[in-house]
Amino acid sequence: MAEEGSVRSLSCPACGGTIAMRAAGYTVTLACEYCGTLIDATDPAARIITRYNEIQASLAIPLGTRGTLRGVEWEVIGWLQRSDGWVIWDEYLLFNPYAGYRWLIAQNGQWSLGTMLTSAPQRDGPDQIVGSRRFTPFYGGNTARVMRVAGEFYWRVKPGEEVRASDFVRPGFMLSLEQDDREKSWTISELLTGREIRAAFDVDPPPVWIPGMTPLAHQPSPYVRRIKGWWPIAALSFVVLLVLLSLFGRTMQPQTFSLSATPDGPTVTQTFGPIVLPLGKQAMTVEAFTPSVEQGWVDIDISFVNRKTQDSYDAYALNERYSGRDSDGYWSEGARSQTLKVASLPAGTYDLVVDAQAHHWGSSGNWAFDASSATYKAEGLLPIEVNLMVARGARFATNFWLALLMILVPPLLMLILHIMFENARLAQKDGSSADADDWLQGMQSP
Amino acid sequence: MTRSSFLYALWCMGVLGLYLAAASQGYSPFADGGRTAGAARAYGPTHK
Repeated sequence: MAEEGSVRSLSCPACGGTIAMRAAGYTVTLACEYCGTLIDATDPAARIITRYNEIQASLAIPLGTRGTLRGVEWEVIGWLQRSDGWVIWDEYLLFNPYAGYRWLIAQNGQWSLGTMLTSAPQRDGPDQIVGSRRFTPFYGGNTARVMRVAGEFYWRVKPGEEVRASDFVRPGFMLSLEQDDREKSWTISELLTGREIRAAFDVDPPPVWIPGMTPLAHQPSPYVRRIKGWWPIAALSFVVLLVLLSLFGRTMQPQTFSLSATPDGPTVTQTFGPIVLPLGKQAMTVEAFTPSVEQGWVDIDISFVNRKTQDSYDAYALNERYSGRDSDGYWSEGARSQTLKVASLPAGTYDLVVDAQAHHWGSSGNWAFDASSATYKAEGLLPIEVNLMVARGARFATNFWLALLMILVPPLLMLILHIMFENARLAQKDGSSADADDWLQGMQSP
Repeated sequence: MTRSSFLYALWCMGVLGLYLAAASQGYSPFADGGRTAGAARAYGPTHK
């Protein structure tokens, strides 16, 4: 047998192909990379253990490929494909004469680096603890079966070999227990980033998760990092928004005007002014107050008319008040006061033109036929006073809420995607259904 | 700061900039002005 850790070549007794044994001295079983025949590497005559007629698998990383991962140069010496009856995954055996063996596990385009533990983890209830990392149960009692194999291994592996497997997870990590009748082995695997695996072995980067895809059990939500990173920015933006809300929109230089309108009487039109707007563009606030309206309403149309250009900026208020008594007692509805906000009036001198028409509702009062309109109208009702307070400036709360919504939409979208991701991930969990702890664990960073 | 955080910060600055521009111009898409024409007016109590 060759010196330990060196490369040795031998001919496949089945197809005659030259096979490089890269971990000579450690390797027990060797699969021909050309015909798939399994060879006993400990036998000087390279005895055939099993012959396979399967076509050599097209591997994402060809055997013999070297790549540097986490500062160590690894050589891919073996490959096996396993399944638990539900999913199929590939495991590449990496070897470095000084660092030993590692596993490179590929599933759904995601890659994890597996390291075998030399001691069993600590158990804490259903959880397992390795160092300071806590792993919670995810898969339990599955049977992992070797489907295909190529390359060399440190044990006598063959297709059909089965182990009982249980997996424990935390974001970015999976702790796997594999056991058969003879031994137990623990492996901790860490999810690799697309950049890492591509730099090491030039494979395609992992696919970006989209709704409908099934994430790996230990795949961290790609949205957690964004939510955590965006939260302080959203909070700061909210504070800035509050400051802007307090700085802008104060009303100033109020002017008051009043007129009166008789219920069911003619429309009263009155012009007030001048109202001078000295600066750029600004909003105007108009409070229309009708303190004496009762069982009726007042239509109030206002127009700011620019004296120079005759441009008109209109708004409308409906002040109304109704009350009565029924089986539930006294009721009332309507508002005697309305606040109007007119946006972006250019600088200039304006007249305020007000049209007010008061109406009476119901059967109280004296009714008389009005020949001009051919309708019955109430008579003898007191005129309703319409008070107007006009001020420069206006605070639009709707602008604030709209801006806040726009600030929150991206984080909320990330939160919805995170929930969808975690739903898809936790749906695979064996045993008890996902609880609050599982969801909280999903919010942790790797 | 990650690229996504940087882009989100840009988005927030854009929103705040728009808010500031609207506030300084006294503008709001929800202002009352201009609603008179075609506005549906319903009169009378709705109490049942």
